[in-house]
Amino acid sequence: MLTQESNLAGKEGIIRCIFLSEFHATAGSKITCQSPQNFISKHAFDLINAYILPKRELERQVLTVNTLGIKIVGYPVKIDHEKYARNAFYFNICFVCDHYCRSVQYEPIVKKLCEFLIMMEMQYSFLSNDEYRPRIQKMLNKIISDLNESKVCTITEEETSIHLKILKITDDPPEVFDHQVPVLKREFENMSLSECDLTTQQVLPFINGLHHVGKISMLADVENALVKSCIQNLVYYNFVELLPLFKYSNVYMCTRNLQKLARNQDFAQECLSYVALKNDQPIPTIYNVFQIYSQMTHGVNLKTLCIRLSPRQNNINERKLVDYGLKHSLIRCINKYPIFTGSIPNARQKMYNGMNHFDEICCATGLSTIKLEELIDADTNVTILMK
Amino acid sequence: MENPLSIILVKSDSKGDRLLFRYPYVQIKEENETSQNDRKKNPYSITLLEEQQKEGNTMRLAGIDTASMNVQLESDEVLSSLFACKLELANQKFELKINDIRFVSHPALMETKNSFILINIVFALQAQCSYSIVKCYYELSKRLGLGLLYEERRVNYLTKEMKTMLKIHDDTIYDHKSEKIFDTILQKSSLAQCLKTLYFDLCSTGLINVVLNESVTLCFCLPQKAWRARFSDRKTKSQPLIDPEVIDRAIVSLKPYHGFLLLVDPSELLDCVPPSSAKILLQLIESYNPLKSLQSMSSDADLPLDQVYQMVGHLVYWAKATIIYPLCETNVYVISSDAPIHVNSPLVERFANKFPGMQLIEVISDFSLPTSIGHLTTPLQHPARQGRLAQMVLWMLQHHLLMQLHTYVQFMPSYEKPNDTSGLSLSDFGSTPTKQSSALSPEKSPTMSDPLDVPVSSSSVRQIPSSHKSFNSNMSVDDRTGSGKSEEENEDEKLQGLLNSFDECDRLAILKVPASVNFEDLNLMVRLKQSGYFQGEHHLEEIMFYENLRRSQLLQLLDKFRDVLILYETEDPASCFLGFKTK
Repeated sequence: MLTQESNLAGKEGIIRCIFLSEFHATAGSKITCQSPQNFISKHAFDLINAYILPKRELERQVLTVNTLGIKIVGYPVKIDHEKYARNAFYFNICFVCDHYCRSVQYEPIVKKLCEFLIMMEMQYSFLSNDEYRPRIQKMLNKIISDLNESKVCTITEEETSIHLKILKITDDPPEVFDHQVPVLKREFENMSLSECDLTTQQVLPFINGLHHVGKISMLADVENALVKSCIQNLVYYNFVELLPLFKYSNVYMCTRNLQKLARNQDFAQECLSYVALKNDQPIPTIYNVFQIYSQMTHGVNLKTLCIRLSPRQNNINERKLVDYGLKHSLIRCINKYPIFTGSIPNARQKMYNGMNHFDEICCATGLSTIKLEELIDADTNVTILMK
Repeated sequence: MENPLSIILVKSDSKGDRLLFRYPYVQIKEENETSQNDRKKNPYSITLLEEQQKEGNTMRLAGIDTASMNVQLESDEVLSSLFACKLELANQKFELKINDIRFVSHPALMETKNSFILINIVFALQAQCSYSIVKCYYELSKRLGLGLLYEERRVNYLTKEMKTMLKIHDDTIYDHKSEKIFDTILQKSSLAQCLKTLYFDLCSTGLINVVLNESVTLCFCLPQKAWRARFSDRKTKSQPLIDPEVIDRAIVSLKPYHGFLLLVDPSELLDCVPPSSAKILLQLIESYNPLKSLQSMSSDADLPLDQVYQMVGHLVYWAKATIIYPLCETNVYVISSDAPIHVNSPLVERFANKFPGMQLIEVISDFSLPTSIGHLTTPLQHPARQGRLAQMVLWMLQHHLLMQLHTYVQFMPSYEKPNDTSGLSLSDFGSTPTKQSSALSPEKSPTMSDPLDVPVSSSSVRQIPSSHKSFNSNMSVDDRTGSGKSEEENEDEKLQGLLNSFDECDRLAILKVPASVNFEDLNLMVRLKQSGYFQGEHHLEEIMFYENLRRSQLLQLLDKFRDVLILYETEDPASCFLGFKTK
């Protein structure tokens, strides 16, 4: 239990229970209905009902209470009407999950469900009329099983239906730079263009895993900033990944994740079939692939590695090998940062401040890597740091 | 983002519940309100969920604490009734999230025969705070509660403080200006002052050293804050927040061969420990030396190793020290990927002040390629020069500009097709002739023909136990009968015994290595393999330490078996947790 807790801490967890509680005119706060049955005991509910049916200042606000080892997300509501015994009806629909799990993703759903129930109550007295109780129970059962299984749920009561969907809440996407190469994820390679917005429609055909952002902007004839925000959007929705530009002069180093390749059979198989050069030949061996990754270190560029180990003879596509390594952070790219140490820099030398690496400078100045390398080699006032 | 928005002190006893004090209590500024109004959108437009989120994000970026406004929108009475929880909920974590604010606390309860005091110190945080940061605040609330209850039992401190605060509340109750009430409380109550200091410390350094009622010392640290403050000069690209979890993980992975490097002057260390443990710290610091491992420091300081771990873990948590591998000539360093070195970096100047006549950029450029101190100096040079270089390396390690590369070993035989003559096999890049020893190997198994057949494939797994058994029974028979066998044959038996520990494929691959006919080499190899050192989990230094081997010995062995072992260089997660991302 404890290990499970530390593994899942702060991650999204499943819904353990959904319950509907109301403030009964005579019996006070109580649970009307819950799925699965008896998940929240009467005793536990009595301890926390102050946070489930709270004072009116907190009504119609998403409230999450985390105590007694459970986390409850709710949205307390009060409906004023003279038909009720106290001229008002208080209720709350709550989602329960494990105390160590993240629950933000349920907040919009709880809110939406509550708004739906308010409407149902006003129209049909759906909640306050006991006749509907079995239907509510059935509805809760459906919601909890559908949401846990497929993250989407559609419920229809009377003539209305609502759609619930657990949205993934991700961090803000990183900034996109000119020198980066967007790569479409495999499962979206055959995505139809018609569903995208206009900019994406124009940009997407040029995202082929080869062109960098600057080039895409030029080829697609779309303004650079627009391309960047379009790609940022695609990164946010996980359609695209950003990788450093592939060059044979690049230097990579392996990371600690490399051991995963030797340990995890499925992962290794996935890698091997990804990096294969030709499909009609036997797929590469794990030994050959691991050998190339393992020899990636400071001072050894990809060209040297290819000459040394001739990956193509072993049916390995070195380009895909690098792609795969970067995507799964088995390796990372080591960049060269020129630093100008002289006294008065010229316009280009001003870029040699230790913050821009070769790719960035090449993109900004339009120079080829070889040309830049020559220029810097000839310049005695420049020191190169590799990191 | 991890700054608390507010600290709230709520009590509940037989006389009811009350919000005694909260800090900061200054009302929302006017300008904030107007700016809020300006941003109001067309009330008829439909706000989508995503838009709301984006809005929240931009506001967060603009540095406007929307949440801090909300804290004060809830009235004191509401807060008080929320946090004066039922007694059964006391002494465990309690968390309440209202919209964008997360209230975190650990209610403390003291029950006597006919009365009780429940005191709840609540930290209001922004809801986006990560799980491990929230955990830190639970802990802080818990400790504060314990300290207060202790003082209550000793001298009724809490009762007195509560009385002072309640009196001020009651005297000015009709005033309706909470600011004024809290002002007076702050002047009169030492507990309120304590909470104020706490708030400021939490927001600035993250290091807390407060004394409750002049007797209980509370030392606490928000590690992410402390580390951020330590590396405040790292303002290159977006420097990610160091999660407390990452630091915990680094501390857990401490090994006896690790060393540590102080980041501050030893005189600054004492404020992070309560007076009671200062003696142990001093003892440790006296034998502190970045060239020594924790184990040797522990024996020098005459402290148990566990205590040294705890102490070092504590120093690391408090951002006073960092974990390194003890400095020595053979350590290989390289510039760390997030080293904030640029022309205008303040580090450049600080380095020049510390080491006159030296340029940071020039010195560090030597480490563009993996380099050791031994490489950079020659025996012909003056020894002082080497010492100076060591000092510079230490300085760069303190600022996390360098990281150390370690060599890891992965056992991985190449599964080549037996009839494969074309293509690149092992023998092609100048290793040993591989066919020579194949006569030694047992019958060729069908698994060999399949290049993909890796150790855990079902067929080979099923084969091992049977072959294992047969070999074992063979051996026992031999032992009984063959007492007069020659030395050489005995050796062969032993070799076979060793080889039995591998499964079919691996055994064949090992047998192809010429060194496998040498009993000692094979024995060592098998021992290391079985101890799990060849799975890329342990670096050479660790293997040397635990197996009591010399570097040359180990390197020789690895070289002999290089056909089945793959070596690679990368960092040790314990010593470079700053750049170590969780993925």
